Amino acid sequence: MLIEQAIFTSANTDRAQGYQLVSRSPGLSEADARELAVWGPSHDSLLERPGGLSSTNLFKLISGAYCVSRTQLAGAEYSGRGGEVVQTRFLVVPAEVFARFGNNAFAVVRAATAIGAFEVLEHLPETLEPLTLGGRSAPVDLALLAQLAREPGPAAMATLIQAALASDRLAIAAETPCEHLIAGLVNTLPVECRTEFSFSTGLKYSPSRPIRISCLPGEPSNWRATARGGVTLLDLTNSHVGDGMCWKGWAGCVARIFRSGKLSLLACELEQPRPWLNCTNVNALGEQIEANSQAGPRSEVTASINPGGGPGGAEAAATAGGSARQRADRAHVRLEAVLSAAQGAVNRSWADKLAKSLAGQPPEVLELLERIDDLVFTAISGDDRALAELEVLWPTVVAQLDEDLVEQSREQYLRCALSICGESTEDRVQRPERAVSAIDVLCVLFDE
Amino acid sequence: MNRGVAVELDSFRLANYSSQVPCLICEEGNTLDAESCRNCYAPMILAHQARSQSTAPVMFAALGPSGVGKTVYLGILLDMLSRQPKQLQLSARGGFSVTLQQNTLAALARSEFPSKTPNEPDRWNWVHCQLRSPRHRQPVELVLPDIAGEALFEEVDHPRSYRAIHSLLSRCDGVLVLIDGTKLQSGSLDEDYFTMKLLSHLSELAKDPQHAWSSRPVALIFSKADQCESCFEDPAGYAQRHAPGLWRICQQRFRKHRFFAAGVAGACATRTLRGGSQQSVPLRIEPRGIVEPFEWLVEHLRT
Repeated sequence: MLIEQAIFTSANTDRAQGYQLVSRSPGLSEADARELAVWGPSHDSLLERPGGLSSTNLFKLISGAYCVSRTQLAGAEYSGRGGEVVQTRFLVVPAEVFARFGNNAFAVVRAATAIGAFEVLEHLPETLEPLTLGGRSAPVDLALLAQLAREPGPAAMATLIQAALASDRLAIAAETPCEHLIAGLVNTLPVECRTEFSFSTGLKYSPSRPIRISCLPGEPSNWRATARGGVTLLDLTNSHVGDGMCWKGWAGCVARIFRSGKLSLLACELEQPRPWLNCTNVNALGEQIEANSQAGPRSEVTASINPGGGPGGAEAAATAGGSARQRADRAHVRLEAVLSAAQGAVNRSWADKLAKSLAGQPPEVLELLERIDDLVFTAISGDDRALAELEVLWPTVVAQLDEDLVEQSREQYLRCALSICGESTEDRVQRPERAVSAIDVLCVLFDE
Repeated sequence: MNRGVAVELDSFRLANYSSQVPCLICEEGNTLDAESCRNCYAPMILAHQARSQSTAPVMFAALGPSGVGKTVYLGILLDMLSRQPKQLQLSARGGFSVTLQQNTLAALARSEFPSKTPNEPDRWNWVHCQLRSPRHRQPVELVLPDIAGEALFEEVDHPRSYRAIHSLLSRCDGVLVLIDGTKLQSGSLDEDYFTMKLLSHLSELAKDPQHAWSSRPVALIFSKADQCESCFEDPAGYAQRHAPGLWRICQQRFRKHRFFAAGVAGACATRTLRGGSQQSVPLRIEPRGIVEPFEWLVEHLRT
């Protein structure tokens, strides 16, 4: 399916002077073009923020298509007056194509940027070719979520989600770049709900351009005017935001997942299609996920282990009362091999010591260690999502567990990583990417 | 010892919202504390200020394409009439009404033209002032917006795209239509076509013959006339020679119309900026023919 496009900027054309739809693809309907011409941001519309003036925007057209756009500065005004001209490239994305990109405008922007669709044009053509965006994108960007789980943190993100779901117009102030924050918000919402959130990451608020999520200027003295327009203000610049708050429904579910570091659980939930889902019943889904995770049989969880391997291995699980069922993915095979082949008796006594230490741990700790085991070995095998999740979960583990246990775990993983690096560089270099992944994992585990 | 205090009940405060305040421009009902109209985005302070008067304010509008000089013309006009001890005087009502003249004069003092008026209606400058003239015993309330040329163009092309403009043009008592004199002199017909479209749009607006645009005053001003001196000598003749279509439509459809010429910058130069782009620089401020069109409009106000 084709994506029609248009450029809105200030120019002197045969048709008119000033801000207008200067270029458009032939397939763009008259009704859509008219709507874009009124929506288009003009002079001095971009918020002044560090890191450049630009904005990613999304809103739904009356025709049912989604308008994904990017607004940037594009040099001096043609008329010789002061100020820089603002240029907006609109992509009119049919609902089917938008769904292919997980209803995520940022994914569309990434794909379109890759083919140069958002470059600022100095000489504007009269007509533009419609675009074709191939491929699809994953519903969740785990690396981004991992980043947001660290900064601004689970509390701020949950507050943002709760406020966004509760408000028909929300303006955000934050230290974190607004583009990241809103992209994070989109990524933490179920795919079916994302289309209900029109947004702009860097345009000044204007009631004539109704959008659900917008950003506030850096100067708080300008916020009152926005608030008087009936917009809910959310100030995330305070580092203690959300402290002591209780989030309900979907926001509460996301907060707990972020805090536990199990981002893949969130990804797993968001990947399931739920055509009936919308913003009014998303809170019920959050509560249902919470209830399921609490009611899940302990044996199931503790049984998801592999024999003999890492800190949360079979011996520990058996001691804790779980049944030692072998996992299909056998995440610890590598470690087992390392232990048996390289170190022999020394390692066996070390493993005994570790097993003894783990035997005294509560099931929650064992579960956490098993998850870390999974993530470490999946990340070493080159999975970026696992690495991103590990980056979030590991600091939680370090904060919650005994120092001894953390050190023992680190030692264990270090052995494994060294063995992989050794294999990769001995004689001739084989699969160097595994060595690189192993080093990346070590960097996370040793806070480098 | 506790002292009694009067606390307003929340329920009573909410009761205030049951009565709506109509917008001065589009007459749509708004809540008491709304800052701008939810329909046309005009500032609600105009409605609140107008409520204190027994008669509805007079409305004028400055119209013309983008870059014709509406902001500069209005800014200078307001500044001249608010400072000079002439027969015609304007005094601003509310701080927001001074912003336009302040911004214009500040830009000109920096040897720059004011930056573009944004398309978004909520960012337009509105002026509410009191007009004192020998023709009127009592001061007349006057509302005068500075609207973006692009928005006007869009409204003329696709009526009701901008509700503020549609309502304003339907209601206003007279218009100042600006036409770029330098472009007409260079042979460009764009200005002629745009103004013809605009006047044709106006003439079709009011269905009621009593309020038809044919009987409302229309002042047509050749702007930037300092760069085409012949404008000043005979504006009507200049219109007949350089904009025949416009001249004819005025003769046929607008009983009260008159051509004027005006200029603000005595001379202009072009500065090349670092990136290679060019900027127009007003070298001095030498207003000519600014007040006359406004005076003529006031004279032809329906009393």
